[in-house]
Amino acid sequence: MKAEKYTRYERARIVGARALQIFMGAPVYIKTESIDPLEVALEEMRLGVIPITVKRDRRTSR
Amino acid sequence: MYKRMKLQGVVSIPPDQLGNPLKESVEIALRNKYEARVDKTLGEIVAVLGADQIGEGHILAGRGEVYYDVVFDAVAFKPEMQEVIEGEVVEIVKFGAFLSVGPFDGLLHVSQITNEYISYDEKNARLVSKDSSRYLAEGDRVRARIIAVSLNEKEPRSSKIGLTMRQTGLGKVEWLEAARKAQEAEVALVEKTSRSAGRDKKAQKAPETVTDSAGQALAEAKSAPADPEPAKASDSVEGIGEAE
Repeated sequence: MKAEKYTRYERARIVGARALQIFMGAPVYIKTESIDPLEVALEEMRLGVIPITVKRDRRTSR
Repeated sequence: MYKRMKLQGVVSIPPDQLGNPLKESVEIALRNKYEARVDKTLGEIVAVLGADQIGEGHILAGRGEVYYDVVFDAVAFKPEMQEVIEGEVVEIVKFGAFLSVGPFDGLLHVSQITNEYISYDEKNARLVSKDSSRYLAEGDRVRARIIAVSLNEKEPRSSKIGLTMRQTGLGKVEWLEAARKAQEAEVALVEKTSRSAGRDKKAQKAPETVTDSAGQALAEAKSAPADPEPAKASDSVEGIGEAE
């Protein structure tokens, strides 16, 4: 139950939002050689440094 | 009237500013969004003083900006109906004068300046009254009342304010000052004459130097020398009649 913090849909939404922010000039939190915003966002997600959380509807959250 | 108020709003922070301190970028965004905005109920927001509470940021699908709910302090100017304002004449035109009313310009139409006929002096850019050669020129300080307000939210520049000076206590500051001095002088004269009339019961002739109304007051005071009060009362009634 507690193994995953986010569902795959939530992860997709977070990475997508973060990639767009990075693309539009937001500061990056990790050291990386990559210049592809999506790759950077995925790496940040892997390291868990993205300052974005999910507000869940109480009825549907597990 | 200027009012300081607490307002609620939403601002968007673009991603390239996410590295800067939040409060700073929120305040910059608030200023850009709300300053100089005209609202029908608030009037014009003149200045945003600062953010008070900044809520959670929201990220909307497909948009890179972060949206914050903010409570902030602001100063707004709202022209209220019947409000008496003191302003400066900023422009004289054929049909009247424009006064600065807070952040707006209000129109004082020629028909609303004095009870007299007013003509436009194009060479000197002045509006001159017909009988008592009073004039209104650019830079004059005046006191006027707001009698029409039409704020345009979409086009703040085309908001209109109508003004009048055809009421007691309104007009160019110099006129008001002159009227006040004249009134004070008259009151002083009436007091002096009624007092001397009360004291000097045997006086046969009224002094020749006093004005008409004061002379009459004196004559009436003499007819009832024991009580000077009725003389004062009748004189003040006549004074009102003259003013009209």
